[in-house]
Amino acid sequence: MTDIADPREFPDAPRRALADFILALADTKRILGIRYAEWCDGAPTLEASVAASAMAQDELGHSRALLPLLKDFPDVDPSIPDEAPREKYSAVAFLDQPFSTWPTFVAANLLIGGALTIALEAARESRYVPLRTRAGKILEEERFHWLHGEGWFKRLAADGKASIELAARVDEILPHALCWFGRAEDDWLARERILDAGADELRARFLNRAGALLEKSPAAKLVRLENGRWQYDGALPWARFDPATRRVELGRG
Amino acid sequence: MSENENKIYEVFARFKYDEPLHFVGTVTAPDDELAKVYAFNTYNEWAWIEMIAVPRDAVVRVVDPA
Repeated sequence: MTDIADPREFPDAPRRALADFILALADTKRILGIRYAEWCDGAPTLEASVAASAMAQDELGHSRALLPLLKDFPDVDPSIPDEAPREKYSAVAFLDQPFSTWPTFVAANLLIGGALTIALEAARESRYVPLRTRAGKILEEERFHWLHGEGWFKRLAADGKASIELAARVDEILPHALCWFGRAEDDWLARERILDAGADELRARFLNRAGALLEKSPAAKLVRLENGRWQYDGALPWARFDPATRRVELGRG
Repeated sequence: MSENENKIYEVFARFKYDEPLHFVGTVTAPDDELAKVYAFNTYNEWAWIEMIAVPRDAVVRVVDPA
């Protein structure tokens, strides 16, 4: 398959799937950046506040780098890449509310930020050139986001009271992060080599990165190691999943 | 997570190949991994080509101020 710079060269279905993917990525990064920014003066240490501020700037910058790609998509409302205010964003639903505690920040940093990073890593060799070039730059900055989430996760997991709060937030966020990769039947992006793997493989890569860390925390019951690969030990809420926005609406079931 | 669990790291960096590392400041962090994150985020005003963080405890003192 040859490289493509103009998305109009893709057939309709993969082009729409690609636009939905870019919007879900950009919107989630935008709202994640806003949630990080709300902790710029409230983190446990001065250095953690500076890190929250820097990560907020990074996420907002990544969102701003991704949104303009949508100008080339004929099916996308042109006001979206122009950042006109919208009623609905394609952001992970857990981010609809501010982070109420520092362990919530850390769990979202690790799991939501981590899931987006796995998706961008799968775009490193994308045949859609504009995504490939942006993925490389974004991933350079994301390295420190993961280190931050991992470092704080280990600390909170070793702290009795904080570890209980951390496990509760992981329990809430993990299904959102796992569903964000989508369902295997909607795998247009892998079929068109826009991403180097389908939804199930991306979910597995994410669990393989986070699994060992989760196992050493009170959230260990959520994952198990089977034949060398980490598995989620629960049922994913697909009934509440919207494949276009990649959101799992909050609620039961 | 008290401040007492943290260590002080001395941060050094350079932004040209033909200059030595020079002291840019300190960060306080509980471990080396978070020290990397904090040093990178706190002193990111230049496009550094190299940055290191040294735990103050590991510094061998040669001449002390009077």
